[in-house]
Amino acid sequence: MSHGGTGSGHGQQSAEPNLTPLLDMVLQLVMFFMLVANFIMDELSDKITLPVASQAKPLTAKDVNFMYLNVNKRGEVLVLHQEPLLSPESITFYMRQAAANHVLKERAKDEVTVIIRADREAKYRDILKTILAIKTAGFKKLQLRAEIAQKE
Amino acid sequence: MARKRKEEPPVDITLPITPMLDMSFQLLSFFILTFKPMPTEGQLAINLPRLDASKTQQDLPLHEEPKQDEYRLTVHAGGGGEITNMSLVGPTVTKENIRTFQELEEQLKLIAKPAGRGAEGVSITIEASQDLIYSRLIDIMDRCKKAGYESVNLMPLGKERAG
Repeated sequence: MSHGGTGSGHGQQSAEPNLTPLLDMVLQLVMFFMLVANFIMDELSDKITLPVASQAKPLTAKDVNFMYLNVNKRGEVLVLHQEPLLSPESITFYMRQAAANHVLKERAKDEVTVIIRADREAKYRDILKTILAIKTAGFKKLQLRAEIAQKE
Repeated sequence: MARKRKEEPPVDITLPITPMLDMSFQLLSFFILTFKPMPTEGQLAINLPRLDASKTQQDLPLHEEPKQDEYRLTVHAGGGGEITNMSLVGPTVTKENIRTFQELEEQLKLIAKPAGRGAEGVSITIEASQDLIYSRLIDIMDRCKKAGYESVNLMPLGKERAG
């Protein structure tokens, strides 16, 4: 690193700012934003606006086997790389496929918790339809997801 | 005869920091512009309904008597999906015309008191109108959990089941 100018000639100086601390700081900021950036997770749709609940409990380290079902405000179940699922039969079929492809295989239906992420404006009939389809597929554990209310 | 090598002046190696700094600033601006803090999400556990999608909903009797330690919260909704009326029926409480969440909270607190026990072991079955919007359902479930009732079931409204 060069600090200041190396005078050459008669009293002529080139002022060169020291960029290293600036670069350090910028790289630290870049690292911070990279770490906290929300990369869109496959299963969590950002098209869903969740309702707010104060008693909702976040996932713990013990909760390892779970899968998400996103339900939009029109009551459609959003699935990656597929058309939205509308009928209970298609939801049941999808859930059975998901259980068959799960690493737990036969035990998946007993041990995997299905978490429904439904839009706050969805109708109860669509939530119930999805829940019944999940039950028909054979899953035993179910939770509804909400945004945790901030304590004032 | 040894030939004396001519001494070269030392080379001043300078690492060009400016392009790196430019790139870092670009990365920084990208991450700042795309940064969106995600709300913390959590779950409310529910029991699976006794209904089964493979059967028709008429399979359940229209006026099923609540089981011991089971309270039935009936929720009616208007066209916009908002709650119009609620009623709570169970072994120790029969309360019609619950219109506010505050009233509901008071009734939920009353349930456990007569038997001198807590909310453990008591289950609440929410029978809601199918027009009810999901956020109101979560509001009701939230109040049930807050009052200590861990066992919450969901059902469609009796008359809607029949029709």
